[in-house]
Amino acid sequence: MKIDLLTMVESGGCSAKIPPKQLEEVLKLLPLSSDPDILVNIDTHDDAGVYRVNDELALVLTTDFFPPVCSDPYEFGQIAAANSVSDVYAMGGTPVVALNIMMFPSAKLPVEVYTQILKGGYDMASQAGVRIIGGHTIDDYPPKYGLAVVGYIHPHKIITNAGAQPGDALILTKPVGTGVLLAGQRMGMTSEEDLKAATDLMKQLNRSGADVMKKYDIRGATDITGFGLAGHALKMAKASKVTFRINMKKVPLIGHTYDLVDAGCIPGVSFTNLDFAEPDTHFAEDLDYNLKMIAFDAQTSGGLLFCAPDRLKNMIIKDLRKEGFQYSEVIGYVTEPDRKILYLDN
Amino acid sequence: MRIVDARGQKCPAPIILTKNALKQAKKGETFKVLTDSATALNNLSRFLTDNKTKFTVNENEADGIWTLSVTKLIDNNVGPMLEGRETLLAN
Repeated sequence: MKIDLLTMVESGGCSAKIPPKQLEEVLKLLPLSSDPDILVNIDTHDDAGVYRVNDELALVLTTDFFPPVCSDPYEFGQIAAANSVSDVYAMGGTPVVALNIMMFPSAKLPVEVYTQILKGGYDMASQAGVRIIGGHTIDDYPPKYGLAVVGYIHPHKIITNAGAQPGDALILTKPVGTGVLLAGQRMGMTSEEDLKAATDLMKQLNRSGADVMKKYDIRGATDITGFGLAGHALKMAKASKVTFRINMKKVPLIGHTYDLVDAGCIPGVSFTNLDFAEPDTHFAEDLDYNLKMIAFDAQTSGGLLFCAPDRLKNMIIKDLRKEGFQYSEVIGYVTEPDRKILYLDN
Repeated sequence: MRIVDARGQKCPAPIILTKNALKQAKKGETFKVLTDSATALNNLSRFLTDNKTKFTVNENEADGIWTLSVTKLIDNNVGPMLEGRETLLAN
């Protein structure tokens, strides 16, 4: 029996996150732990927490899990694992060990599906040099899968979302549009070709992109997931106390993402992301509506967004393209704090 | 009058249907959109506001259905394909 995981979910992948506004309100109610060895906590909404062990070593801790983003269980496992380790790469760390987190409807799906999801996860983790050394499964419908990951990093070499400097160029390593294309697939609008492109991109580890960041001593980065390009850019600009200007025409798109949005294929979560970012965002008067909504498209296992000294941008793009990020692009720049935190230009 | 029946449909279907109706409507034409989803109503309202369309919403409390009356105000409000923008295919 061929199992199609997508028939079980309404919104898969990182678009299944709870609305950012709600999350922010809840997090505000929790006390922050104070400990000089906590180097990065939830205070700046960064990609992962960092805890210092000694002067040479800190641990990067992160977890991500979500409902299916594709039909095939093995591919779902691969994508979920690539997405889970991405937060460690975004901090400049090296993922080392991980635990499986699985929710699986044992009465509804054959055990073969369970095995395939885990196998996809193991294979992707191995590709990242990560050993999976345990895990936990709960009986639940629909299935959800991801990893809790621990990575290593030197305490002085942490790349945070608070590291953006005025004058920096903004570099994006993967094209966007996975949210639109996955929603389009449920509507029968996404071509096989585009779906494959999106799936391949979601399976692409951010590892070599992070290696390029380290080579150029980059200090500010994040990865693009559920809050969309604009949502994550805003969080980063806010944490860095600067303003970001993004030229939406420069943002690379996967396949026919633009055409689908032009046909009205705008996932509901894009509106939630827009609501969250709007008070801090300026939209250019002539900003194309479709590009505006693409800026808020929830990405699953999206690319890295990082800040680089302007003089290095061309060399960095060349390196990224050589490393398999052939659509990496300079999409904007960082300025001193302006009236708004994020500007979306046309 | 044209009626877009988006009842029972979840996002993005109501937006796709409404956008299609907007593309087909003439300037000044009014059509109705029906939805029974509060989320769809919220997203449709946002979509119509951003696309410079005039609309009103009526709620029928008895059956929980919202009826939007949408009037197309300008001709070019449906975002023509960007000139010179090649779509990328990640091969």
